[in-house]
Amino acid sequence: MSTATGYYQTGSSWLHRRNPITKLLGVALALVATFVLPPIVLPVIGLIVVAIAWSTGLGRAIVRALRIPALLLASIVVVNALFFPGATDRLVSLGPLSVTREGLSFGLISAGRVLVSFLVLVTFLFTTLADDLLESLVARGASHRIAFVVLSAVQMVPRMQERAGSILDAQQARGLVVSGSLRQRAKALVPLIGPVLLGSLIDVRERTFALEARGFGARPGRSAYRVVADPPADRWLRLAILLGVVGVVVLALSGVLSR
Amino acid sequence: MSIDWLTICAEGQSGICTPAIQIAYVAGIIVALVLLVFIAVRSRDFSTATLALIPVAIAINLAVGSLIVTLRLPIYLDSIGTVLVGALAGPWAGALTGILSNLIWSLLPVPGGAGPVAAFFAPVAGVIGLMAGFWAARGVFNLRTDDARIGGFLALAAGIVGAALSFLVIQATIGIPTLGADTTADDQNRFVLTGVVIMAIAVAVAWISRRSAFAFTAEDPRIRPYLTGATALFAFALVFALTRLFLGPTGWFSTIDGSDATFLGGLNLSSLALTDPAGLLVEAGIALLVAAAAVAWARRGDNARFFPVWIGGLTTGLVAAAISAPIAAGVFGGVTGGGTDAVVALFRTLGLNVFQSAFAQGLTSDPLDKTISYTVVFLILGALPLTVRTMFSRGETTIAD
Repeated sequence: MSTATGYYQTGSSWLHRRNPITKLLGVALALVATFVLPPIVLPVIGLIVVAIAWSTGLGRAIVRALRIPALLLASIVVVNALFFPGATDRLVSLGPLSVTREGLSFGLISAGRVLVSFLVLVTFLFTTLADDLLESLVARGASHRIAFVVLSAVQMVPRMQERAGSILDAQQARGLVVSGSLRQRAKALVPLIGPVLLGSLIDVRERTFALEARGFGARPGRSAYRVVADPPADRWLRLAILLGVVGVVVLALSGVLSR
Repeated sequence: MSIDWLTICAEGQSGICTPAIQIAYVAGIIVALVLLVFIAVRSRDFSTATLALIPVAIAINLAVGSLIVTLRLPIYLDSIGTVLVGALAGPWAGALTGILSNLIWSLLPVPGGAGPVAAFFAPVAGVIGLMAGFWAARGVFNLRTDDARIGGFLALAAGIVGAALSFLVIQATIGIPTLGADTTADDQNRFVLTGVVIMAIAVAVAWISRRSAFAFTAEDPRIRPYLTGATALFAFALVFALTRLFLGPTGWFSTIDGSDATFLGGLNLSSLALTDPAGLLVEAGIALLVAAAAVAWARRGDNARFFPVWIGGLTTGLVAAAISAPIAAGVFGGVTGGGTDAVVALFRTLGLNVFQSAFAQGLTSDPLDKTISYTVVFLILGALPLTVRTMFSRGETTIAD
């Protein structure tokens, strides 16, 4: 079985070497700034995020990942541009519909916020090993039970796709027709999805026994097998990020930038 | 430091005010955090089996949910795993599954995810898990068709029907005030008052019928015919309402008479709106046919067992719609990137404002979506081996007694 690295992309950039907690705080800072500060500063935040993402050497992978939110972004811009309620300033008339200035600006701002937060999250996911993140969270007092749930859920999605692939092969070998008319494909759905769902649910029993045999439910404290690096520079970086979050909130509340 | 920004923007207002969208963000995040902390405390009591089940349920949510987003269908189906955990391991485990599903979905680069949209609906997912646990404890997944507790579900259905009828009566007589952007305080008071009256009627109908018509004893011979009748009535009401909504003399098709050139290019479909009484007969005829088919289906075997499952799904959907509407309206004006966007856009072209469109979309999608989800979970539970179901703390609520 392939190693469960999730979405982690191997690398050795400066961002890869940061402690996961530091990066998590950085994500929080970027998200707060994106959604709390007025939209005028959005391009600035976007440029900083792009610069950081590019410096990790994963620029191409991140750009390739952009096709996932493309539909959402287009949808936000188009629906708001055409159907913004109460909008009067018509820019372009496209047959029966027309693009309004208010709708277009609302749509672009919303889409920009989604785009920036997507870039931040993908950069974080690509440069951080999920095991490291949860190990350092548990070391800082997070519940190991919740950590297990989150980590195995993240790893379960690709595993389920793998299982679906092998069940597809197995059913085809038994003569199941999976192509053809819509009705035929719909009929093939139950013998494909049924075993995937029931199989993974029945696996829960085996996993429970395996966990119990390794003392998962045991009460006394536990020691860590993995040691996550925490360079001294990270401590200062974390302090700076925390100050940044406070600064952003104060800036947003004082309303300096909104007039 | 001035606090002018502390006023909520009216629709279309710009300048010094806080947009409703940011209020929705903050409120959603706070509710999700409070729920999460509370559940984290409760999670100490979860068994290892429950903790091993939750990741699988989350993966099911994400796999099916992102598939539906890709297909751009106007439903979600992202809470099958949540309902399953709620049924097998209780409401708090269900709530944890729902909240974590949406938060993790927001983090993963899969369709519908990798953005803040899913995370904002985490409180809704949490409440869906709570309600699934509540309904499972009331027996929706294990009632036989001769169980006395069926009476409670029939009474609840009667209450919902009573509310719908009183809504129609009020609309036809004194009228329901619209809640547009230019609403006066008087209109708002009247709106709240009518809402309270409708709710009171629903509760009264449910309470009285529970103690009179639907007060069953165990293995009462009336339960089966009553269930069959209720299924038929529900099918009739649903189909009649739908056909009336589209084909009635003032229905949806009659509004598309070509007078508004900005919608569908001034297409005239008003000839599809049937005039009374001929139209009424056609609509009632279609509904009667469907109801007859429902009776034939419900009389066969244990098919009527689906009725409580559907009541559970329907009520969960109504609650989910009520909670998700303000969030959906706050987040990007109701646009979430899924197939439901088309529905929101449709309601907006009909002249509803952002909040009304989001709520109308929720009322269209959510009850249907949750009813399907509950049905799927009911079928999955039936197919799961007994030894797997009984590993979980509430497993016995899924075994017919």
